[in-house]
Amino acid sequence: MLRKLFGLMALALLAGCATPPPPAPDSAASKVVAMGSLKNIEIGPMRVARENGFMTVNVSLNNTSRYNKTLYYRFAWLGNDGFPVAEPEAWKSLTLYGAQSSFLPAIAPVPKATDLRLEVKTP
Amino acid sequence: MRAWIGILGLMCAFGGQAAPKVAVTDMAFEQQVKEYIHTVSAQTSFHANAYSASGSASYNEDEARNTYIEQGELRKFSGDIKGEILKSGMFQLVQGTPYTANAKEDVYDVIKRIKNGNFKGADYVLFGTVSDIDFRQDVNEIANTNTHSAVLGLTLVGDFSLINTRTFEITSAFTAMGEGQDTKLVNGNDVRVTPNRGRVVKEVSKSIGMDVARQLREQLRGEVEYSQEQPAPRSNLPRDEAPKILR
Repeated sequence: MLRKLFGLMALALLAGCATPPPPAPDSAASKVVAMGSLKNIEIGPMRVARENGFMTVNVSLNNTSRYNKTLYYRFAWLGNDGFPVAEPEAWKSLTLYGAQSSFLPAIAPVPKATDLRLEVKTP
Repeated sequence: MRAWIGILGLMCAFGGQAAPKVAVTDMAFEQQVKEYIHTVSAQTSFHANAYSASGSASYNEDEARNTYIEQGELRKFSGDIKGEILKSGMFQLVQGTPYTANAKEDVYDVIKRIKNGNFKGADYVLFGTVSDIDFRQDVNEIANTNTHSAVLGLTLVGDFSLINTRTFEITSAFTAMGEGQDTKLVNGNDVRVTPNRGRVVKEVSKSIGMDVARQLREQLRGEVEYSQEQPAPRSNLPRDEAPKILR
């Protein structure tokens, strides 16, 4: 009985230590880098396209709380080798009203960009 | 059977015939050279004393104009014409004898020049004459700035005919134009601005060459290019991609 209990406890501990599985490549989650945990903001699907030679993206955001929330964000534009091809952008802020869902559009500053990262942070 | 082989052989011979040979003349021109002479001599003398006074003045002015006609060939602009003809692959080129100052015949008398053997080995002669050559030098104000644009432009118009050296048939004839300009922005702080003549001349040469080759293609092969302008520079932006929704 005691052994079983110990076993269960050990299992529970292991499960707690295990890191969450990495997001699938080419998923919206794989493009998002959250600095700390995002409070009450959900990042939904992304629309990624290349229009007139430049990479464009539109990210859907959702405020899950009833209160207004501020989000700090910036995009990093990466080349084929996974390294940035443009100067780092300045951080921008976005206010999402209570329970609002919104979209965040962006265009790559250089045509070389083939991939992106969205860095987000809530205060 | 033999006859057939013979006919086939003949067909092959004609089929494999090389492109006709063309001699491209330098563009002939004729210019009036004017000399203007103007001499003025003036003398005055004046004497006076208590009882008498005398004076004399003489003024002599000579003016003369001397006009003669000089013929020659413009050596400068035929390089790109030859180049573009070679690029088009329609003809092989042969160098003809250039017209020099001690040539006896008239530069425009192309038949005599062909008969004199100036274009040996050529099936055709592309004979060009200068219709107009004109340097422009303008300084224009640019509104709301303290800058001017200094433009040096050159326009060369030539009249060309492609003449068969045996039958003297003109197989194509056209006027071609070459244009080039160099623009510089100038303001009061510039001490000296020299337009780039060399680049202008090169541009003119290039564009007249392309015009000649285009019109030859048009008249001999019936290829009509609808865009008269040079093709717009293609942007090297990557191709657009259809939107993807990442979830």
